[in-house]
Amino acid sequence: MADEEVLKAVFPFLDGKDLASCMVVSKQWRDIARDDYLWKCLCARRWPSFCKRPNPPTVTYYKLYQTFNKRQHRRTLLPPRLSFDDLEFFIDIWSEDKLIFSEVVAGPVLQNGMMADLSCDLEVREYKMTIPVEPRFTVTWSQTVSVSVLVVRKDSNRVACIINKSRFEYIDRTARRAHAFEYLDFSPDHPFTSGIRGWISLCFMEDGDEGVLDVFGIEMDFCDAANSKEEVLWLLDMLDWK
Amino acid sequence: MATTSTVKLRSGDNEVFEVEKQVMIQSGTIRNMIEDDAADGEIPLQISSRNLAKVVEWCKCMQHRDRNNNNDNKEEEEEEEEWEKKFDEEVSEDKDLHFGLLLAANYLEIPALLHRLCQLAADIVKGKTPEEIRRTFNIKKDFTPEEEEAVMDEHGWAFHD
Repeated sequence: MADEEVLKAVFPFLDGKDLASCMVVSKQWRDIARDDYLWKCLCARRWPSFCKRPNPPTVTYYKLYQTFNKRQHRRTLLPPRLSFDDLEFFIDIWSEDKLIFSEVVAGPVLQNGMMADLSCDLEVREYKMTIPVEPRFTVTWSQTVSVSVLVVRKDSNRVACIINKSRFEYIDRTARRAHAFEYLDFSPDHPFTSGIRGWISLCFMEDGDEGVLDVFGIEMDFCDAANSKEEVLWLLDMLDWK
Repeated sequence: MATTSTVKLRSGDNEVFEVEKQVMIQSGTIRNMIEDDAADGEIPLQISSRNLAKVVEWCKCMQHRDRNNNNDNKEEEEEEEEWEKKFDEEVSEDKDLHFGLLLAANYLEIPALLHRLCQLAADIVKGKTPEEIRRTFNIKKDFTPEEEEAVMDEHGWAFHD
């Protein structure tokens, strides 16, 4: 068939992306475009050293070319092994040495959060867990305010530390948040993971009185690394559970 | 030795083109015939007169250009460039002519013409989605929905978001 000769002549002039598009046009185009010789030529242009070996390192040269030219998709995570139902968070907050907040928060409560998140920014892909503070408490900014968060997993009865008595050192008056963080300790199974912080924030209303914050909510996130429910659960699963 | 300086080409629809040998030796196929003294009669070709006329025109233009390569005639140079541009446009807009010429260039072994036509075809395909390619070349999608899904799974990597 005449078209076949034309395609065989033209295909070597295409780059890999266009040749891949041709594979989806019709059966005839696909059968001609998948000739691995075409892909060998493309690989030879891209990685000339590969053609010093008689055979492709993968099953086909097409496979080789495809593997390293795919658009990088965000990898879909496998379903996390952990569920919020298995988790309990132990949150304690001190002002100087005085305990001002102490709660055990079930995972699903923290996950569902407050219905109306005042600072909800739809543009930013974040995953924040929030709980309302009832009754509210006030903190005086001139005092040292610190927080601890432990998490217990009921599936294996182990405990891990998220925040170990960190100070709320940074106050963002625009977002009405006071922030504390701690670098997470990961299990020895994940030796190269570091630099990921757990963040705890106090959400407050503007109080008028200079330096006194009326706290109505607590927010937790792991925005360095985990920005979805699945990612957060994976991250928590990697902690150094004892 | 050949006795005349021209060669006669007969198209598939029986039109005869008499062309200088100097022009047609750009075709490997014709050159071999001339060298073998097999080009004295008419050479029958399975190429339509329309396509053959275009091939001959192209060969003449290229030979003219090569001969004048050493001249510094700006005007002629521009004229040739203009001709090539028009040739590209005409071919790109007419699929039958484009593919017909491509096959003719392949058969007649005219590497420069073949290369140019292939490059033109590649430029047309470049950056197009499979659907746009189908529309451009009037190709029927002959995959069943299941086959299409499978083929997209396997080969859709280049253009999926």
